[in-house]
Amino acid sequence: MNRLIQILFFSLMCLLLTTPLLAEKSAYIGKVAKVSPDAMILRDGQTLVANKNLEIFANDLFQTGPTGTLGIIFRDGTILTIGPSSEFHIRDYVFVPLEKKTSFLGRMRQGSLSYISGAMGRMNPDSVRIETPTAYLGLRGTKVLVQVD
Amino acid sequence: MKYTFLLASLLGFLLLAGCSTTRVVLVPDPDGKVGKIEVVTRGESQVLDQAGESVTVGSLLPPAEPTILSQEEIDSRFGSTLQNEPAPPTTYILQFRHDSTELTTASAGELPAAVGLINRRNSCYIVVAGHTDAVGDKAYNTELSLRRANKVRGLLIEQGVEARCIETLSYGENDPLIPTADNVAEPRNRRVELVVR
Repeated sequence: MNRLIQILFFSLMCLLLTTPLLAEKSAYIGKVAKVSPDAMILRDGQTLVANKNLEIFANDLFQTGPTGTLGIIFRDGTILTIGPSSEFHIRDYVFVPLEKKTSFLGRMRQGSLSYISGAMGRMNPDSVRIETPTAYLGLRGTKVLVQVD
Repeated sequence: MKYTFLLASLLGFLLLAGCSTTRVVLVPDPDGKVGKIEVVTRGESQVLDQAGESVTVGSLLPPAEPTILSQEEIDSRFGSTLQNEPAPPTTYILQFRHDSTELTTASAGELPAAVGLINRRNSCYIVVAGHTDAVGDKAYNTELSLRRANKVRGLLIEQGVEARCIETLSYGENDPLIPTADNVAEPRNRRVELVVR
């Protein structure tokens, strides 16, 4: 009987310990809202064709060809549109509104983008940043265009 | 001799970095509001806060003075990006009767329009966030706001919206539309915010 309780206890502990990790992993940060081919998402060494409603995760790399565009809506309502022949890496994205914890950090390697701020920009304007090869941009809202040649 | 490598490296760096230019433009958002950008280049900072204000930053020269771009210039540089922006999310505010998960008649009448928009946009990114006013205790209100959100979720599913496309949130009395003192009845705060992305 004692043995059984022990096993149950350990099973429960394992479940409790692993659940947050699983939850963390499955938390998508946005979805593809509009796309024109060709547009790709590089994730964990895999290349995915960006289809409408595809889930987006932190650390994804967005790539578009000469005719491609990719529009993403993030959890907080931020709208990011990547233009043709572009490459953008979403390095960090955190949105926990009840704790006011927010962060948006992207790296624009080439091409063009349009950014329209969401709840994060209103709540915590200093947390939205985009790096380019030659500049570091602090976006305090509300609509910004960036082009890297 | 040992400087040759250094010189070659420096030249290589200048060539690589020299090829890159960043142009930043601040434009009005869909509501006409103009925000602010801080542009930092090698420790120097510039602030853009006018509609159409733009600055170009190369790797070698110091950043130029900001200029105002005309709409034609903005369109010629960013046209294909701007034309392919997703539609901004649409929010419906659905109100409820006091201490109830029953929608007011007016709000029930708004649901078909919301479902129509979900279908037109082929949206699979729908949020239903439940709220209450400040009457009653907090724990009860958190639970009531969840029941309200689930009610709207159920109504959407009945109308053919896929369950996996709906995210449910409950704020209880923590995020009032109209701030009030505790225990004040405010019909506009008894609501579900339905966001279609």
